[in-house]
Amino acid sequence: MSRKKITLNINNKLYEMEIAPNRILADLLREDLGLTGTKKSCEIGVCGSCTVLLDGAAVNSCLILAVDCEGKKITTIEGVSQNEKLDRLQESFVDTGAVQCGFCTPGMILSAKALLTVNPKPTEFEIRKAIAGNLCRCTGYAKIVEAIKSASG
Amino acid sequence: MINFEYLEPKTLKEAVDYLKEYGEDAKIKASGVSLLLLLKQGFFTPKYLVNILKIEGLDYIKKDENGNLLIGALTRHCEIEQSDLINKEFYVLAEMESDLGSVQIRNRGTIGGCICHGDPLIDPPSVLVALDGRAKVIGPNGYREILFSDFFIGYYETALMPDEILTEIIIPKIPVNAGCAYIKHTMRKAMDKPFVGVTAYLEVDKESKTCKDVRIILGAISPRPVRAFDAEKLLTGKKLTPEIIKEIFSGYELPEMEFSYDIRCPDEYKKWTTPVIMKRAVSLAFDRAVK
Repeated sequence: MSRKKITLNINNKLYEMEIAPNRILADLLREDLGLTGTKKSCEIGVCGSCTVLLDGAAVNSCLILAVDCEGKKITTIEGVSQNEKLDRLQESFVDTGAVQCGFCTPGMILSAKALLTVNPKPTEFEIRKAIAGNLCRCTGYAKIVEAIKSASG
Repeated sequence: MINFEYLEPKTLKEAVDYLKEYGEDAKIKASGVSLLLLLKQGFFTPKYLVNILKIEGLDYIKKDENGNLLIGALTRHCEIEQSDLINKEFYVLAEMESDLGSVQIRNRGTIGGCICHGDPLIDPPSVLVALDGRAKVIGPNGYREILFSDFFIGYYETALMPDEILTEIIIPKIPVNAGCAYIKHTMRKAMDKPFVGVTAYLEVDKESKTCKDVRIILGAISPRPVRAFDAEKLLTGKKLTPEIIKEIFSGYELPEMEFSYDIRCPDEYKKWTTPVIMKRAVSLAFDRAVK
């Protein structure tokens, strides 16, 4: 299997790497770069815990080959806070009590971030539709929806 | 994860040449959201993966001079969902896309990759068949077109030959006196594959408002989309009212078919629910046609 030389832009930092073409983006983030904020759970694109932003759009990093990400901007949960200061959405998740076990939280926040970037004042329906691809097995979603709502506008 | 050589053609000709050279050992990959599922689990082990994402000019939504819709094979689900042209003139496609998978899947997956994958439990086939669409494909001998009614063959099998690539989806113009609707039945409220997805296409007579051209396609329920000819016959020539629709579909028995294997849903349940979904899709399509 011929390896490929690529440059990836992750959280505004450029990484030059030589990788196998079958390297999955989620594995590259977690194992090669130690960015373990991106979680892996189902690994078949159902649970959304591996959600990252690719050019601002939420995607499942478990179903993307890392070689296909060259020239794109990848944002992981580690890139959401700026200069050690939490993003408004992160603050809101903490303040609202939207985090229980926390496993779905990075994916939830990135899906919510993508939503609020294009739709700063979403309705509850729009919020629920935007996080339909992120499973939470603790909260019943009420606090998560509340947290996204209070971070909007 | 299996090992493979990653080939990255820049043109369709180069891609077809790879397929011709490597035959069954090669497999086309678009975004990979469907294909990677099979590769990760080792169900499928191609030696060569031909990545077509770097081929330019396969991502578009436009109309031809006759008002037919043309969608490039690498157009992402979210682009179809959000397209003004589609929401206005081919809204049933947007209606189907708005509930396909999750936001994450729609942001990444392409319509071409989705349908060429050939999983029966997906949303697009019944809509593409009901709209009388065609697939434009390229192979070693140039382009050919395949009607979507002939395209979907069975589990992970389509009419594409191993050395052919889908390039475009063609949907004929929908007349103003036609209405369409796509309604699916799922286990979860969101982010779920359909047990059954019904597309109804009804063209009504402008004066008498009776149904004259009817297509009712049942998707997902069988390994290939099933056309409900008998239901179409019962609807044709009638000016529909809620009572008439109820009468047609209460006691309606599905045409003989092979049911898809679906661990979530026994066949008996499909037989029981599908006429209800058909009734709803027909009502909605008729309302839209006469509006």
